[in-house]
Amino acid sequence: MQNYPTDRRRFLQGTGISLALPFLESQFHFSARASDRKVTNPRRLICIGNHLGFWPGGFFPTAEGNDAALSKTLAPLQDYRSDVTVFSHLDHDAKGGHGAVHSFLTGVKKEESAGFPEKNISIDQVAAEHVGAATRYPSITAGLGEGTDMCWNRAGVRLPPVNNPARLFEALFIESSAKEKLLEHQRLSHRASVLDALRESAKQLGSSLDAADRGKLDQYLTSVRDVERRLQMSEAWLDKPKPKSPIDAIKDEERLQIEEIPLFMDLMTLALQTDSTRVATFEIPLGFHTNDLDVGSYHGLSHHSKQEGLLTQLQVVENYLMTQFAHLLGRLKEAGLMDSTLVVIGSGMGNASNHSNRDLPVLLAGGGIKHRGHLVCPAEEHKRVELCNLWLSVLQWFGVQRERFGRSKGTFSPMEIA
Amino acid sequence: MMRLNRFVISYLSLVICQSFGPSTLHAADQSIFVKQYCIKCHGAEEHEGDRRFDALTSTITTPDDAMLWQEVLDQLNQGAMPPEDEMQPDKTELLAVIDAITESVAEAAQRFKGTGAHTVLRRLNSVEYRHTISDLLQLQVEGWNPAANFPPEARVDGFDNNGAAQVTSGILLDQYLSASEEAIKRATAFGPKPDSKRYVQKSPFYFEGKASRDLPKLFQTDRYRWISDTGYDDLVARHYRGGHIGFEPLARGGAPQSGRYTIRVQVAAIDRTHPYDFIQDFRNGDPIVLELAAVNREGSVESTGNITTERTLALVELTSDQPQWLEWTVDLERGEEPEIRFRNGAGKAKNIQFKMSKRGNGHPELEALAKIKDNGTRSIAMLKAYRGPKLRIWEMQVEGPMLEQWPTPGHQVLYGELEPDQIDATTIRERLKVFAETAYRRPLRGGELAPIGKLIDDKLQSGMKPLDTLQLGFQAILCSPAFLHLHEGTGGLNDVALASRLSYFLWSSMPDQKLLQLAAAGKLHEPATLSAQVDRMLADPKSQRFVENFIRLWLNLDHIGEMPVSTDFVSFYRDNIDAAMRAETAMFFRHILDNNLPPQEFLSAEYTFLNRELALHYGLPPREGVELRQVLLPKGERGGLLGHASFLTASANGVDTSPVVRGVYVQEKLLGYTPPPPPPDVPLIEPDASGATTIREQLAMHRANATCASCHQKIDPYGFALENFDAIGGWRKNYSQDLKIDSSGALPTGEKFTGITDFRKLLIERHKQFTRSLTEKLMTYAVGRTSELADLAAIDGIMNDLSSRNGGFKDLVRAVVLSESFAKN
Repeated sequence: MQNYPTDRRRFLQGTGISLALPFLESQFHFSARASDRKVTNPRRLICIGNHLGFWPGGFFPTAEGNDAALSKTLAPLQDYRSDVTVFSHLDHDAKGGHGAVHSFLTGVKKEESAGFPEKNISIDQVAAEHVGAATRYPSITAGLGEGTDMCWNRAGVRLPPVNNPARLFEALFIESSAKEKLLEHQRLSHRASVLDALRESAKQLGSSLDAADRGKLDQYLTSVRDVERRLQMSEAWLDKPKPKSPIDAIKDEERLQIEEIPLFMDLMTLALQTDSTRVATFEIPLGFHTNDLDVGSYHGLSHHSKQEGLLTQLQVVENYLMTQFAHLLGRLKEAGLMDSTLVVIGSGMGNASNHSNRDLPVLLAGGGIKHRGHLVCPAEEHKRVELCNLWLSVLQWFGVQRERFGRSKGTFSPMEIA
Repeated sequence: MMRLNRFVISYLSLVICQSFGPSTLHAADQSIFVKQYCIKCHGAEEHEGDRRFDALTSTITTPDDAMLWQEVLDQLNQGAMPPEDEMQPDKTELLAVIDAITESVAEAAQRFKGTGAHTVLRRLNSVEYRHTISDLLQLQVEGWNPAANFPPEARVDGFDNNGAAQVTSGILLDQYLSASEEAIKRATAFGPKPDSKRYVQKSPFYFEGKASRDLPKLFQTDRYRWISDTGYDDLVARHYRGGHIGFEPLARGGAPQSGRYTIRVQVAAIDRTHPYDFIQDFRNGDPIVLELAAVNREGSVESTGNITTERTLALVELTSDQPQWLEWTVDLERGEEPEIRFRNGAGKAKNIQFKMSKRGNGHPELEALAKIKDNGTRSIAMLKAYRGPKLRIWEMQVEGPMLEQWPTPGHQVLYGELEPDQIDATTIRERLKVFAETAYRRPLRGGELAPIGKLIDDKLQSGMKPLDTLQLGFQAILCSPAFLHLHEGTGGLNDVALASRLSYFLWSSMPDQKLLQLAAAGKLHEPATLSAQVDRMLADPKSQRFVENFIRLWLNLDHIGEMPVSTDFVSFYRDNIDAAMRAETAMFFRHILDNNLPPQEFLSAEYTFLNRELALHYGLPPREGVELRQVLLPKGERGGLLGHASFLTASANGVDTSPVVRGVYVQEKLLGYTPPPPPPDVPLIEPDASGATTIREQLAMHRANATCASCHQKIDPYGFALENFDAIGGWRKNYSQDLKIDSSGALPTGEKFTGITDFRKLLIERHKQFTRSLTEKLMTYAVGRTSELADLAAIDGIMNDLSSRNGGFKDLVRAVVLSESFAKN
């Protein structure tokens, strides 16, 4: 710890925080907008995804409806039965096994993104754009290790997760010194000047290019504008004090991943509670250190080939994850946020054993909506519901006014989400 | 095989076709052939795989039609269409129509050449950016990678330099701003030349109390590390506790200056042969492998082990238990410090200690100590008594920096001979102009620097210091679109553009003075000059970037380790197999290139490049040393790319193998053919070992379904042939004790094989198809776009030329550069 970074801005880069700032298309006046949007009880969104999903045999309840008994995997949610809905037979009709998991919150694979006007943007980032500069961080993307490529912006670029709870704590609660703030102001101002020069240079260069090449230069110009907007947002928040932390500081130290998860769950709750953000995500990667739970490697277990011994170990992992999810729901209840926060948990992997991306595990909790226990959607090909329809309804619940998201063909709101 | 951009995602999928009516047609009439055998599924009503051929005419009228015909041709040549359970053309009919289509596509390719085939404004990708910064500012980018945090590049057919697909985002631009700022800071070297200094650290290498307070954990005593009074310290493990030692004199901020340093250590290999049956993570009798690493701790945190970057500088095998001095001369980047590691140590010190406590019975030196109550005391006492493999170290010395030039070459690129007090509005403009011309790799255009000039004026006026202002100008140049993109224009490339295309192909970086001089003289495009330049460039060490980058993309080597390799494969982690397997393939490629061997050597070579550990991994007699050397292989199982661990690991998932995945991989990478993905609504195979069925039996059941069969018969055999290789390329005969591996099969064309040896022969017979596909991949990589119709003629030309003079792989690379596709945009 003796080599404390002197450059705060760089320090935050790659941590999932500064990177999570959104790209707004038509919003230039951030400070004005920020003060305009004093919402008394805003809506919030949390999305949690794990790369390997949940073994379908253990995840989906056998019965349907509100009174359906919880499945083996969902048993830890016993106290929250009336706050959750589990969906069967929702997916994006994607293929690609591990290579399609990243479409969980987008409906669109990165390879297909060129064909969509908003590329493969994920629901959390649509929500983050909606929040804009109203909170310090439009979104917080957190996770273990390298995460699982879950969050994507409208340029089709993935937002990596912050994977150190100490850094997230710092971003939320630790105030920069006056000197650091001054340096940061200077730096922002210099960057803004460089961006001006870059914009003019690009315009000049563009005049000599043909149409296809000019399209690429337009991308560059859009990027210049994006960075400018982010600079303005950073500038606007720089002098506003951060909230006091209600908990002891989370120090940087070596931790097991199973120690990190509960810390992240607490920090996400605090981030919402202090209105530092209204959108938080958490990613659990393929390489989750399941050895810490005294079972085999996560990826190895997912290739269980229906062997009893391996399935038992996998169940340990999945129950652990669901217990952590229950812990989060408990925290949200304590903080009085349950009814204003919609929580999504699931995966872009339907069945890791055969690399299927169909029938994804999807569960919604909280949000003050009428939950339905186990909601079985049609399984027949021509009657199936697009998972993107549900995502669209989630976004509408959040307050985003839009009629389409990803592959949606309409809304899906069986429990009166929006 | 040729593909149109718009077909990249959806491939031909194979479904049941039925013919209409009797065959009354002339066999060589291609459009009638298509009507007869294909149109039911690829016509107006159904267009399976997004393909419809109902509007195709025998006379090709558009480039798109020609590409469609090329696809039809590929399918017929491959024996992939029509599906097996459908009416088949007879052999003469088939051969005649193949001839007819081949001829008309070649004719169309000639007719349409010069149209399309435009590489959309290409941005330097992460790799190119990194090397360009390195060559431009003479910075060493191994220890500091300016592109480390860039978002991943979009890939098309595996290649990541496709102008049309590249994405430039705000996140990337933000990274450019930071990376360029840091690059300029690192290249700036005002002030007197730093003196060379000598730093020494003798045992003990661990510290406690006051002396350790400002040191990272690595240096501090604990249950596995104590202050030694023997004059040496012993490393027992592989992981950093008890397996790494740092260098205290440089532990607070690393090397003060980038440059060459001499590093010396006094070490010995102790107890290589050990009496403990509970130590399994070290092969009894192996040499001790010492790794010299460079680590950077700047901005690091405890949870990362106080390291932000690390890299291997050297590996040495030690066999003697007598103290010896080792010496290296290496480049250290400012902020880096050396570490000594026990590379093949037995796992974690914690586990060794635990096993000694629990399973030390029968070893008198341990039995007595196991009774010690206090954990810490017991742990240290046992580790002192431990008779397992140890790397012993007495002393470490670092001397440097040795600087050949001062100010550094990079500093001179930026500032010339300017001293800080000579920087003013005039000199700033001069330096920016000189720098921009170098950075943009072409002469400046009129008024091009005006926006940056304005930036300078504004900043100077607002009171910014002249040096800071100049640096801001440099930063703007390195973030400007002219630096970040290749200027290829439209039509024939001018010589200056050609210089860049060539250097980004073979060096992944900017052209050097020589290339730019030839371009300025208008000579570069002359075939003799170009040809000589290719030879010169391939002889330059920078061409190793081409070798490593091309095979990485071609064979998708990034996939290695992306899926965590199962910890059951102990040797993968202990023996550094990951690095060795990549090096093997790179050396093999280099060997074929340098010796201008025929491209089929990639398939047929009966030798490879191995070090001791990779040889052991392959089940071959151990070699000496960590360096890879050429080894003749026993006939049969290994040999050619098919036997490379990198090839076999990149086509598996780190846990187990799938004949389907490998079958697709082999065809894609070696034959240039991508089998179609499964049609919608087909159930996936769910592995089921509860009934102890093999993957072969499961796939056989899958093939019982006619829809699946038509494809899997064409995919699976290519993977079954490799089943004797496990997920990291080790040789295996059985899946488990009572499940034997069967690697026999038959290709779609009917030829049977009993295993890998036969299968390799069949692939070697297809070497023309291999070479063609390799040519296309080289072309794709060289010009930064997918192949189009116009390239067909170029590739045909290269293939004819090559076979007419029995050309080698270097000739092939040269021919790509000399081709029309390369010369045009």
